This record gives sequence, structure tokens and C-alpha cells, in this order.
Amino acid sequence: MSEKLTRTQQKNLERLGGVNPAEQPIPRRQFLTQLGGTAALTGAAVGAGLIIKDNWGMEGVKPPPPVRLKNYAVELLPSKPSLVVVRSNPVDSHGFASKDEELKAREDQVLKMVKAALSEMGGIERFITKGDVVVVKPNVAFDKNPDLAATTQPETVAAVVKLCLGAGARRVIVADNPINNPESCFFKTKVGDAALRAGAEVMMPQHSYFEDLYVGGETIKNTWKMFYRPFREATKVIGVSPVKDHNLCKATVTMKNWYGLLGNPRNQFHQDIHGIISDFALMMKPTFVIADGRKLLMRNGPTGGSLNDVKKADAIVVGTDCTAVDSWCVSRLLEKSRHEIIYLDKVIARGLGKDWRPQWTSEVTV
Amino acid sequence: MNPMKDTFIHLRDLYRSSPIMAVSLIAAAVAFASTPLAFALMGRMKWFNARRGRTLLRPAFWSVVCSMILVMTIPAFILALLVKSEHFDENRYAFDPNRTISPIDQGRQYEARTLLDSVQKLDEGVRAEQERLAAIRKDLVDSVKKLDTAMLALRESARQAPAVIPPMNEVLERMGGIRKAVGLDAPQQVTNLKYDPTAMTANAPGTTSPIAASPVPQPTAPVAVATNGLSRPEIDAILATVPEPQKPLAVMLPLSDLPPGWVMSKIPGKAASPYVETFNAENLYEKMDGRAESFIQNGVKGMACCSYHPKGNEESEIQLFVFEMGNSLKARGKFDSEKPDEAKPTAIGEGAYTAAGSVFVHADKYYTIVNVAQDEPKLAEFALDLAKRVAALQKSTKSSGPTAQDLFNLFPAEPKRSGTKYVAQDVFGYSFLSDVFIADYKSGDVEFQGFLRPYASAEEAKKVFETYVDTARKDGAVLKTIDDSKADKMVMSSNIGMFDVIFLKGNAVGGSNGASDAKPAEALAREFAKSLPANVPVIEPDKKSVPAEGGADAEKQEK
Repeated sequence: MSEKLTRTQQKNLERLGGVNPAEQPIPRRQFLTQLGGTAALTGAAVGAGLIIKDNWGMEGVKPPPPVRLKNYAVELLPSKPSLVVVRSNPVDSHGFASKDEELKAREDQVLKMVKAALSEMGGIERFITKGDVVVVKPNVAFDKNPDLAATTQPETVAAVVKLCLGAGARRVIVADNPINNPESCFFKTKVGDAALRAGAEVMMPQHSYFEDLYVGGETIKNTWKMFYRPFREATKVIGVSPVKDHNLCKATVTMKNWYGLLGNPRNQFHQDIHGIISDFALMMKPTFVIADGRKLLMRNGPTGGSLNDVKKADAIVVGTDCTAVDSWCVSRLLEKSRHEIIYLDKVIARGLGKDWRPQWTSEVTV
Repeated sequence: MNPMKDTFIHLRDLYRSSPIMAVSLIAAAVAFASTPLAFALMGRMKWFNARRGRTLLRPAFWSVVCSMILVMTIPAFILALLVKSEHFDENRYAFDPNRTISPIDQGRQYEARTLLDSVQKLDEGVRAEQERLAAIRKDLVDSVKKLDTAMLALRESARQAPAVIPPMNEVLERMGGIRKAVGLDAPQQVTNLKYDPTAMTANAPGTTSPIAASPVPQPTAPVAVATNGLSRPEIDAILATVPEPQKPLAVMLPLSDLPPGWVMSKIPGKAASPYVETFNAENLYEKMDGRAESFIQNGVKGMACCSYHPKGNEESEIQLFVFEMGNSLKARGKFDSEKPDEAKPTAIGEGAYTAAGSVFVHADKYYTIVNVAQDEPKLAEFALDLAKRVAALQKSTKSSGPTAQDLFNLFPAEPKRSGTKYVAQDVFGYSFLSDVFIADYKSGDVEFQGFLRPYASAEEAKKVFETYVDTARKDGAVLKTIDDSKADKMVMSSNIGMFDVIFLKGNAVGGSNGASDAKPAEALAREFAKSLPANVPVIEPDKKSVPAEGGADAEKQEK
């Protein structure tokens, strides 16, 4: 120790018994431990680097992960029915001075019917809260007059939109991806006009509006292009469907309605129509669904043949489970045997929905 | 709009959809905004003063500002990244790092671009040439029309001079060739001129033209008659866009000469062919997804459709669909399968009915549907008119072989027989049973069906008979053999209270199906087996059909 120590250093040296540990040789064990630790740390760092190494820079440019739909379902009070059937005498078209008056009367009647159904289930406030962004999904697959019952009735869409806006919804988007030309479909079915008049915005499909949606189902095992743009900021989803015969799956009601969100080439799913429809029970958990049973397409579905294929009825069915609503409609409205509807059996077997039960059902007449 | 309120709503929505993101955003914003305040406060509290020997010195003002900016960049970066992460960069995926732009690639791209340029130029050239040819064709057609008109007077005068008639006939014959070459089917002129010294006098004012009285079409000046619908050039332009296989179908659509007050409906988004849509079996789903399969099962080859509506009333639409099916039997099969109980037969084509104003026709291998949107007499009348016009173009050529009606005639008339139909596939739910002829029967309150399926050979018929019996046994039916000397084999199957009797006779399988009582089912099967010939004629798939019950011959309609 050649250099002169300060007083503090001298005190410390005395305390250590005159031995400066800095001048002692490092013990072998400590040396090996430190060397091993350093090597382990370095190895770990290099390993981690190799694991996250991105030779081609693909991590930076790979497409965004597939989107998933949220669960839009709302918990109902246990005392409330999950399926409500509202009946009302059809509006007589002869007692009006003009077509506008008749349309107004029909709209008022549907509004009353839907309102009554939702009141039974706890009121619209139970489903829609202030600031919600609501997507209403009608079935406007074909460019046909609504009287042919191949598409959702426009006044039902208008009623749902009005109720949502009345409950404080910030935006109501009416969206569908029709089979025929979208503009023509929204125009000829009158759904576009009815939605706009009620205060909704109509969203028609465009190429950029489709995104890969993860389904993970039986037929769509991984992802499929879906008309996702309306759902980007949606907080609630409502399906409004017609009740009609279908050449392949025997009935189109609320569950098959979600088929209209799939991008092309969706026709390939017709090979496994029941599988794909049962996947919708997994893909979409709507806030509630409405089956418009006021005009029923009894045969030659899904496009419809003539007015002779249409039967006028008086029911609107509202429910939170597509399975129960479809089950009720096929047997009570379409006059089909429940066992003909294979996709419902699949949904129930997969535990994605429950069949209709009288104890969960309420029937109201307006 | 209140910007504060808007920002709050956005933040609230963001918090609901992604709470971590919202909290991070707010934290970064607070850190960014509070840094200058913190620096000012800490400067006041002499936090930045540095020891120089025994004294504490204040740092230079600009050094404090610089360090403050450096500190503020941290939350600023975080803020920027958070905001950026909310926005999808469309151009981000335009670059594919797997496709490195090497000099070779650049060269290839240059070549490709050059090729593309040349293809585009070629395309433009072809288009220009097409337009030039179309203009020439139009001139040519107009000139032929004018020539036709000019020939009228010459033609009439030639009838007075016997020597002129032979060369004149030859000229008219040649003109027929020219008209055909330019695709002009009117106005026609009689080519077989005959000597008529009174022709000129008869054409004098106040007298009736002999041409007008003649049964041949009267020559008319090529002046466009004011009718509704599309003009010839418009129709030609539309037909030019139709794929070749569907052209014969598109030609059947009445696009011109519509009744007053009716117009064609435009199809939005179809600039090239705004009134007519055509599909083949592969893309039929684009028009009728879900229903297309039922047409494909019947061998649909193509479909053409268009719509009409009264002027100013687009709600009262009429849609016309013309399908070309696999053959006339398949057309009838599809027609029969869609027929409702309330159908009212009408005499068009080979079989037709109306239902709530809509009209359904089958003729030859075509199935035509005219759908009305509203059940109104005016619409129904026009729908019927359209169906007649289309059916008139679907005349079948009679073949020498057996027809569907020949087979239906083999069915017993008793008990009460009502409708007949042909079913192409999955008859009675059996996938092995196809191309079956069926008739409805009623005995008392029991309604059931009789059926017949002739095969090319007795072996084939036997195989199907055995498959039928095996399948019924597997389905849990109780089988009972019936002794009948008129049939090779006869079996009764009963399951869930329904009785079927199936027999095999020669090359045919037949019987009764779906009776709730065994007796009438057995009686019909016995009677059927007795009346059937030993060898039932077989219809080849491409053979033509004949008028069905309720239908009428198209030629009779024409008359």
C-alpha cells in the first residue's frame, strides 16, 4: 500500500483487521460462480435474441391478427322470459286514403309489437344503454319486393332503429352483405329507405369493409372474410330476419341470417349448410333477435316464387337465443317438423344454444 | 359540437373497448403536459443547482430548457406510438419484403410494364376497330332499310311487266341474302312476284293495297314505330355483352315492343348491360344463392332475367327469368316441383299455370318464371303476355321416341287420378331413385301416389327394386311379399302407418307410395302391373317432352 491513506480509509482498514479485501486474490469458487453467471446471462440474452430474431422483417409487415366478435349478449333477469311472441291483427290495407297512411299504420303497429315484446323482457333499456353503437342486421339478400317475403320487412327494421335511438343509442348501423347488387337490394326491399327515415345509417359492403374473422367452428375451423366494418365499434347487435323456407337447410330464420355477413365465396358452404349455420351460434352472440312472422315464405325459398308462396301471419318473435327463436318459428309458423331442421340439433348438441321451452316463453297480444 | 365533450366521449369509448390503452394514453398526456411545470418548480427549488467547489451554481437557462425537451420526448414518443397504433396504415402492406427488388426483378417489371402497355394499346386498338365496324354496320343496315323502301315502288311496278318479274325476283332474293348477312330481319318483301296488271291501280289512293290483304307480312317503311322498351341498337349492345352460351336465352327476353306505360327496370351497378342479367350453372348462386342448387340438380345450363315496371311505379315490379334446363324432362321436373296446390293451369307452352298473378311455363328444355310483386290484374295481364311471348320462342321439335305423356298414359285412371309430375332426383327421399314419373291418386279419404320408372334393361330395374326393398328393410319397415302373376315381383312395405307397394315388371319399377291404408295402395299396384306392357318405353334424356295436363301446344297458341 504505497499511497497515503486518508483518515477514513485508515479507520476502515483498522475495522477490517488491517486486511484490505481489495488487495486479496479472488477465491476460485467466487471466480467460477461469477464467470458462470456472466456466461449464463450472456447465453440467455443471445438465446432470447435468436428466438425473437426476425430475418425477413415479417413481424413488422404481417397482417393484423384476425378479428373476433365480442359477446353482445345481455344478461336477462331470471324472472323475465327469453322468448316473447307478440301477436296483432294484420293492418287491413283497404281502409286507408293513401299508401303513406297505410305504411304509417303498419309501422306504428310493428313498433307497438316490438316494444311490447321488449317490455316483457325487461324493456328496451335492459338491452340498449345510452351511448351504445347498435348494429341492426336485416336480411336483404335479394332484390325483391318485401311483399314476396324473401327479405326482412322494412317497417320492422324501422321500428328497431327507432327504439334503439329512443333508448339513447349513439349510432344505429343497418348493414347486410346481400347476394344480389347491394344498392338494388336495399332499394327494392325498401329496407334502406325505412332505415334512413328512422334515423339509422345504412352500411353497404365494400371490399375494404371485410376482415378475417376468427370463428374456430366446425365448418369454418379458422378464419373467414367477414363484413366486419359495422362491428368495429359496435356495442350491441340485433338480428332482424324474415321467417322463410329454404331449399337446402329447410328454414331461414334468425340464425341463418348471420350468413349474410360472410364474404365470398360463401356459396361453397352450401355443401355443409347445417354445419355452417351451427357455427353462427358460436360466432355471434347477439343482444337479441327478431323473427318477423307477419309474412311467411312457405315454399320455394329462399328467393320465393310468387305471392302464392307467401302466407300472411300475425306474429313477431323476439328472443335472446337464436336457437329457441328458430325452433319456435319453424314448428309454429313454417309448419315444419322440428326434426327437419338439422342445424338446430347440431347447435344444441354443441352446447351453443337451447331448444325452445314453454317456461321461458311469453305470448302477448297487442 | 363541444370539442371537450367529444374528446371525453371518445376517451370513454376507448376506455370501454381497451382500458389499458386509455390509461396509457392519459398517463402519457399528463406526463407530457406536466413536465414543463415540474421543471419550472424544480428550478425554483434549486434542484438543478450544481456544486462547483464550495459553491452551488445555477445552470444556464438554455441547458435546463434542452434537458426539459429531452425529458418531454419520452411521453411524446409514447403518445405518438399509442395514437399511431389506433390507425391502420393501408400502405404498410404494399411492400412485400419477400419480393426483393433486385436488378433482375426491376428488369422483369420493366418488361411486364412494357407488355402491359402494349396489351392496353392492343385493347384500345381492338375497341376502336369494334366501334368503327359497328358504325359501318349501322350505316349498312340503314342503307339496306332505305333500299328496301325504295324497292317498294319498283317492286309494285314490276308486277305489271312480266319480263321484269324474273330478274326482279332474283334481285329480291339477293336482297334477302344481304338482309340476312347484316342481321336485319325486317322489313320483309315478298320475293315471289306474280304478274298483276291491276297492281298499280289498286295502289291508287282510296283503294286497299293487295299487299295489305295478303297473308305475308306487309312491307313497312323502316321508320321506327314509337313503342315502349329498348331500341334495336340498345338491344344489340346488351346482347353483345352476354356470354355466347346464354345468348339464346337473352334473345328470348322481350326487351322491346312493351305495352304502353311499361318500362324496363335498370339494374344498378351494371353499366354494360343495365337491363339484362345472365348466369350459368357455376354462378347462378350470385342471383339465387340457396335456391340455385335445386336448379343445378335439374341440370340447369343457364338463366337470363330482366325486370319491368309501370312507368313511375317501381314498386309494381315484374321479374322475368328464363332457365335452360338439362333437357325437357328436367325442365318439366323443376316446373312440377314448384307448382303449388292453388295453381291455375293456363294454356301456354307445354304446360303452364298462374299463381297470384305470377306465371310459370315449361316448354321444351326451358322453364320460364314471370314473378309479379303485387297481385293486381294489370300486372297479371302483362305477366301473362310476357310468358306467351317467351314461350312462343321456345317451340319444341317433336321427336319420334316416347314422351312423358306416353308414360303418364300408362298409369291407371282409377282410383281418382289428379296431377302428374316428373321428379328428377331423390324421389321419396331415396338417393338411388331418380327420373320417376308420378301421378296423384285419391281413394275415398286416402291420398297417395303412383309411380313408374322404366330402365334401359331389366337387370337395371331389378337392381333398383332390390335396393328399394333393402333400404325399406333397413329403415325398419315391415315387408310382405304379394303374389301377383302380372308382376315379376311385388312387395308391400309398411312403416309408421304408411304403406308402399313396389313391383318389378320387365324393365320397369312401379307401384304406389304414401298411402295411409294398405288396400288402395295394393289395388293400384296390382292394376298398374296388369296394365303395363312387358317392355315399358324409355325416354332418353335428350328426347323432347310433350304437352302436359293443363298445357297446350305452343303451335296452337300461335294460331
